[in-house]
Amino acid sequence: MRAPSPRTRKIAGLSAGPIAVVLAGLLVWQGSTAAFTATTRNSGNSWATGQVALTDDDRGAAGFTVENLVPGSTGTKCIVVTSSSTVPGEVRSYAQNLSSSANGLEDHLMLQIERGSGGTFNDCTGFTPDPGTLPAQSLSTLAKANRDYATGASPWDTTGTRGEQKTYRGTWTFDTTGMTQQQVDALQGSRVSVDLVWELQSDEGPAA
Amino acid sequence: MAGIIAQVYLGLLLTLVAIAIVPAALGWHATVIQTGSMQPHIDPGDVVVSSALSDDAPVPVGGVVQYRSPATAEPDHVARLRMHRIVTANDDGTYVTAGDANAEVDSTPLTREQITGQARLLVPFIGLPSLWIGHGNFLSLALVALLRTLPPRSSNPTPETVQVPADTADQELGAQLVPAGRPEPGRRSALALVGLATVGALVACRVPASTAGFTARTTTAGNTWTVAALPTLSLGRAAGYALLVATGIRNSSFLGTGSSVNGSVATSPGTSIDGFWPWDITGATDRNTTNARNARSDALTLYTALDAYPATKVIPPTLTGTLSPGVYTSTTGAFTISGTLTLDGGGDPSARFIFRATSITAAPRSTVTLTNDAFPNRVYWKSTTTITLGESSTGRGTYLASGDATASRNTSLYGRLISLNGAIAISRSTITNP
Repeated sequence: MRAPSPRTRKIAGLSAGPIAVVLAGLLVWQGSTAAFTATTRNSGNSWATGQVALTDDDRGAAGFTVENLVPGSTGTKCIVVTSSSTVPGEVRSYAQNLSSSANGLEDHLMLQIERGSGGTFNDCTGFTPDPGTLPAQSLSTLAKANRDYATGASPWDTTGTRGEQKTYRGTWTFDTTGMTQQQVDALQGSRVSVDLVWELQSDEGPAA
Repeated sequence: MAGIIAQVYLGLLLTLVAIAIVPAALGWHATVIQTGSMQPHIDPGDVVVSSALSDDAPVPVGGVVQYRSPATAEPDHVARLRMHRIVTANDDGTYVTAGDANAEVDSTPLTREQITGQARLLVPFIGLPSLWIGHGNFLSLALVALLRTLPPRSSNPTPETVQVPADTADQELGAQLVPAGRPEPGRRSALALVGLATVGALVACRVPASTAGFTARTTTAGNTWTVAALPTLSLGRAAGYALLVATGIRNSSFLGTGSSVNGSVATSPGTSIDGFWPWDITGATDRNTTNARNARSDALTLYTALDAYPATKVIPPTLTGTLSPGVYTSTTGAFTISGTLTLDGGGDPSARFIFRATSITAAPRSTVTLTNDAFPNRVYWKSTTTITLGESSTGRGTYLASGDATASRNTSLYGRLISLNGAIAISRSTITNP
């Protein structure tokens, strides 16, 4: 093959620098445009489904659906939260979307969440709590105090082992202590609803 | 040509490093992205150059910002810089952020004060050596360093014709016979130096790291609690009657003394009210009148409604001492009031007492007293069979019997005596409608 002429070589040599700069500029420009001006989210891709994922065993059903409460009514339910994350992180629980009733039922519905192991969604038998559980709090206090990840409660540090689990047991009581009969009667028919959320966050990337 | 490619490659690297570093002179700052929750656009190892967010600039909704995440919001309790996209603004002046690769938005809201910069330039891969050092990945670093310092293969096999340096502008276009060995090693070592310098710059460029923070969430949604809606307890149109009966009322005088009723008396559907002197009853005497029928109807409603209230306590059949407000049933089914029974309202004027039994008996000389805002209109006695108030007993409240009701000699009753399906017999008693 004929070697390139000196002229070609000189042009090539001269243009190496500018080419590099233009290439770099293009790279940065294209990357920046794509990254920073995109306004739609690309959510739910492989990260969520494969590497950092949290599931529970409620099969979409609500944990608590309680009717016909009378003063002093109480009940309990368990839910098993499983992490399929391959990185260590921390799971915290909190409440969201509290829909309040006209007469403040949420101030008298006390809920205690314990973290532990054993039991399933349908049956709390065999549940053993971890030490250091918080006392019961009214739904209104819970929704204010533990409302997002930063203020989440009951931290569970995951090790990054796929399939590690914790069971959370919720015990609720309709507590009318200190209320007059008139106030109790005013609550008849009231309804309150809340979402309970478990969130796992990890600052490390999944192992390559 | 390999030499050209090598030059372009190194030039590319240098330019990228420059783009990453130089803007610092303008007050912009660079950060190496550590994690991948902003993929696919931003990968770990990319450098993002951000400008500070000036006070009069709006928060860039839809753009990517760097912000301080406090220790409490971090899963490992260490405050760090995060780089996420602002997705939307909340009504309260905070913002919702999200990692592009996360299925869920971040649950912790972002305030303007936390923002340390708005992302402007994305410089790909340049931060990788810094990332490798941070993660102790020295193998990758060594490989890259090695590759960059390898001198490029000369494209010219013959020593007579050599590539002229690009900056020697006065060179003639054409081959120049140059003694072999002089510029070529110089060129090689220059490129090697550039390679080393690039690696050195990248290593030295320990710009602060930003994490992207992965999030996953599971929810049990829509947990509801609903309080039972119980029927209202109300005497309704039976309120004015001290005695209300189904078949008939018989008053027996004793040693010439009759009973006195402060209130009205009604029978329905029966019509028999006898043994009273006219002055014995202060109110009306309704023998199956409309008022009597209405009163009975409302009394029946009340009788049924009392069953809807679940018992709060099941107690032994003998009622004595002090009781607090509640709904009481008996362990044997029947209740007997003995001695003094004090119903303590606890200071709540709306306090309510309900006693449900198969039969209710007040022992002779027993007394029911009310204290602390307990009122007779809120005390209910319900018997599925009979109610018998013993001699010289004192009763308080509304007594509803399905069967016969009896007020024995010298009974005092503050309230009402109602028989829904039977008869009432009273003797020298005083019934006062409250």
